[in-house]
Amino acid sequence: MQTVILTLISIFSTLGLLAQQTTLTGTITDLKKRPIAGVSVSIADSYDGASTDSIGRFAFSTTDTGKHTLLVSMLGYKSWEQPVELRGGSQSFSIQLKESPNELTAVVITAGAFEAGDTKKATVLKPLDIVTTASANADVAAAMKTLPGTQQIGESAELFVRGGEGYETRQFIDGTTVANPFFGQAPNIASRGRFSPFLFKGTVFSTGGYSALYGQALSSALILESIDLPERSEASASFSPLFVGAQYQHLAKDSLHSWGASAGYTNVGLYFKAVKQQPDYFKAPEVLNGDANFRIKTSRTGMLKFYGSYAKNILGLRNPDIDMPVLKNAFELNNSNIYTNISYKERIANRLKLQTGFSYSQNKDNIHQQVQDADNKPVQHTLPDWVAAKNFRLATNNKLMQLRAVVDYKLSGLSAVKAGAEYWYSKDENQYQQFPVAALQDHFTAAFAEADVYISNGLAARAGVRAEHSSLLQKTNVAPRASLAYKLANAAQLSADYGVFYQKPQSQYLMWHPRQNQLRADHYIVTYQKIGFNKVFRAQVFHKEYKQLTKTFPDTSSTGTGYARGAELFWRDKSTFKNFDYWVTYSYLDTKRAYLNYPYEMQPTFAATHTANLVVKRFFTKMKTQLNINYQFAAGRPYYQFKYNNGAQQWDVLDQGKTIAYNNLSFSANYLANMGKAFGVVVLSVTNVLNSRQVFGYNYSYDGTNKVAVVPPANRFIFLGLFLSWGTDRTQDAINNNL
Amino acid sequence: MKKILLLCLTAFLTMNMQAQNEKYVNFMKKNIAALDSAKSPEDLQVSANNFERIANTEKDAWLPNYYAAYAYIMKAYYVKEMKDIDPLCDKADVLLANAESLSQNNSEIATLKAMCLTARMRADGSRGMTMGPKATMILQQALQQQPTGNPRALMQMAQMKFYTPAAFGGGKDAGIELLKKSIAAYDSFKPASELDPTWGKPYAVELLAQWTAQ
Repeated sequence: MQTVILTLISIFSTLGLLAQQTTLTGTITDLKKRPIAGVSVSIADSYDGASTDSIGRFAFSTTDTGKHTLLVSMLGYKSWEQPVELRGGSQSFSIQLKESPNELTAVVITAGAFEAGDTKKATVLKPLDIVTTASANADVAAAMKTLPGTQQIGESAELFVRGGEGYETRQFIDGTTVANPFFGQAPNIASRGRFSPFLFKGTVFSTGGYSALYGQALSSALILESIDLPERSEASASFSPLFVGAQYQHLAKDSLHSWGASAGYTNVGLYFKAVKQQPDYFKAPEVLNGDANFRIKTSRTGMLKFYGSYAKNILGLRNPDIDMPVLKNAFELNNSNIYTNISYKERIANRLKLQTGFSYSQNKDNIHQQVQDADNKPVQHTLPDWVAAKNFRLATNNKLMQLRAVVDYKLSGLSAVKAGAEYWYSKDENQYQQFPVAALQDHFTAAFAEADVYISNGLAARAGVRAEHSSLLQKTNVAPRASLAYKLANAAQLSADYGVFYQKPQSQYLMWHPRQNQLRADHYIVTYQKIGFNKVFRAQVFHKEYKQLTKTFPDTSSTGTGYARGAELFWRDKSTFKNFDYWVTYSYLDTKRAYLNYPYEMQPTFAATHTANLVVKRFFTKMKTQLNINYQFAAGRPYYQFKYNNGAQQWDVLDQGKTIAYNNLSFSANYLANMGKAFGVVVLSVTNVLNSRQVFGYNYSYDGTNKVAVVPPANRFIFLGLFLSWGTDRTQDAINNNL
Repeated sequence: MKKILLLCLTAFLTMNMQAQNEKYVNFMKKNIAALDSAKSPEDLQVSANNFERIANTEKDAWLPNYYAAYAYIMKAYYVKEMKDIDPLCDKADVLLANAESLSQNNSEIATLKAMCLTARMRADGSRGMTMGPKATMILQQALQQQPTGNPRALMQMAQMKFYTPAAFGGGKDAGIELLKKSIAAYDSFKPASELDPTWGKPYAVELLAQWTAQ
């Protein structure tokens, strides 16, 4: 017995005696042999270790013996480990650490895009900027018009980018396309976007060369990412002479799910009584809308989101008839729209993420156009054909359903591979007068893959491909995309993007000739960008080739061509002038195209050669007020009078010219205050403060003797509104935002 | 015989565990003292490394994770390059998530989470829009989690108030009042263990002197 105990004791003490020290020393440098300080060096699963000093040296001793792992780690560098055999004495190491690519120091592949978000480095705008841009009145697309590459098109809410038509810019919410992002509009009078900027946490506006993950946008993509769970429950209400609205958002106590709903009613009648409008509105624009959402955090990494909205809008207006100015032309629109979007994302395995989306939308337009006499009654007597053709009813019913899935596999560092597929089903039904036109149906499928490869922190490449098939067009297209980004000196980088982009022709043209080619545009873009603290500079040059554009009469083949090239500058500075935040942009555009009835390549009517913007914001803390000023300039746009020449079987250009330059100085003030238990924001905004005359183009009568300028319904728009919210104190936001 | 052997083995293991625990406590104490006297980002990095080593070995202890995160957050306040802030805060957030998985509803961990957000706001003022209210909310949770008053959460709250203009419900007076509350809480604060956080009082006192002098 005693012997056993003695033996045990002796074993223990021997163990203690045997414990011998091993001393580990060494130096740690980066690949350029510069010492790194503060690096952690340790024996795995042990307290023993040290940090390197200012010249990269370390030294420590350990009593551990046998086989262990030596771990070396430092923020910003790839960890390093090596098996070591500890057997007393001293061992010396010379270790080189590789910089680990990270989002903050690495080059940005998507440098060409404008991002609004809170976290990423490439962010150019903040979410709040969309709301506080004077000319935008909290409209997402209108705020984008202060960025380079966009045209100042006052007669449409759409975004016209780099020589592209409004149709060529598509909006995406959580990956799926939005078929009708704007409320129904009357000819040549811009409406607004359907979606509130507060629905989104991230906005990426790409003016070209974007990822293979997105398709069916020839010129530009506005990619919106909806918010996840809200920070807290909140009720809010808004009042204005133009509208009333109420909203409630509920966050569950466990912060794992939320739901919300909102309703609003807009009626511009009162405003139109106070401020004279050029057209005679017999039905002032009226909108009734509501939406609902829920969001569920399905796991630590999973999120399920639903958003659905319904809106109905009507309007009716009269203008003098262009052919017979004693008569009037009455236009009436009845629009209803349903939009739903369900998205689900989850990390299904280590490094592997899945993102799926489903969306369904339905848009119905009922248009009634009528030639009326001086008493606003339908004209009874016989009219010439070209005037009588203006008496019609048109009903359209467009449905679009989309399914989408994308997997994202993270390779080492920032490198990643993405792949996915989409299926769209669309059905467009039209009824002209009492005659239904054959419905247009398309089963559209797309598959895409893309790889982001970070060769180092300073050099990255992206290669992608997108294949699409349309059952309606009976065509398959393959679109390659590629980008290269190279880091210059600190914070500056150079990047190049190339891509082929396809888009189906608009359905009104497919209606008659469904077997057309997809429109095609090839983009070449070079970007220089320097992002400093509170300062962003960006310069871009681009070249774009258009092919297979739609032609109408007499040549109905899809053989239209065109090009666009130009240079753009963007400069934003939040720090040079105390409390001032401003940005300036300039865009130069040289573009021509032969499409629709253009007899040869000519500068399209929606393209101005020079466009410039100045946006200035300042917050006055004591007055609790933010003032925003925005000046937009665009050179005159071309206009044409075409006449069909029966003999030569082509369109002749009888008259052409350029409109006067576009000037718009807008102003807005946001006053923040606590009102009772609510937090309130009072917004006053005025567009075209200087009352400059704006002309967007000219319309010609059938015989060419009457030429009428296309002008806004009123030169100036004034908005006054009160927004109240209970639950969140946004004052604090504004303060922090401006400290 | 077998019993004795077992007894011996148990005694040995217990002794060993005690020794290990003693080693842990001593190591922690030494490093907490070093962290308290850290004067530069370099000192803080060394502290962070030391605590991370303990955290990697003592996989059930929240405190090493907590102190490592604290060192990284303090470093984020020290660094001059704004672009360096986010990686430090990202690292701190990982450590805080570890700590939280080991100790739930912990007022001290919540306080550091709020501090981390405040550090991030320093990198980009416009983040205040989303991060400001979030930090306030987390601090309110921190105060609820410790009804006797967490002096460190109160000090954070005091600083947020102080730098918010009076017109918006903050102001100098509101800040000073909260800071006094924080100092009172420091005086009556009893840590749950000898390793639990006690930092911050000298800074609070210094801050009060500064603010009242302004």
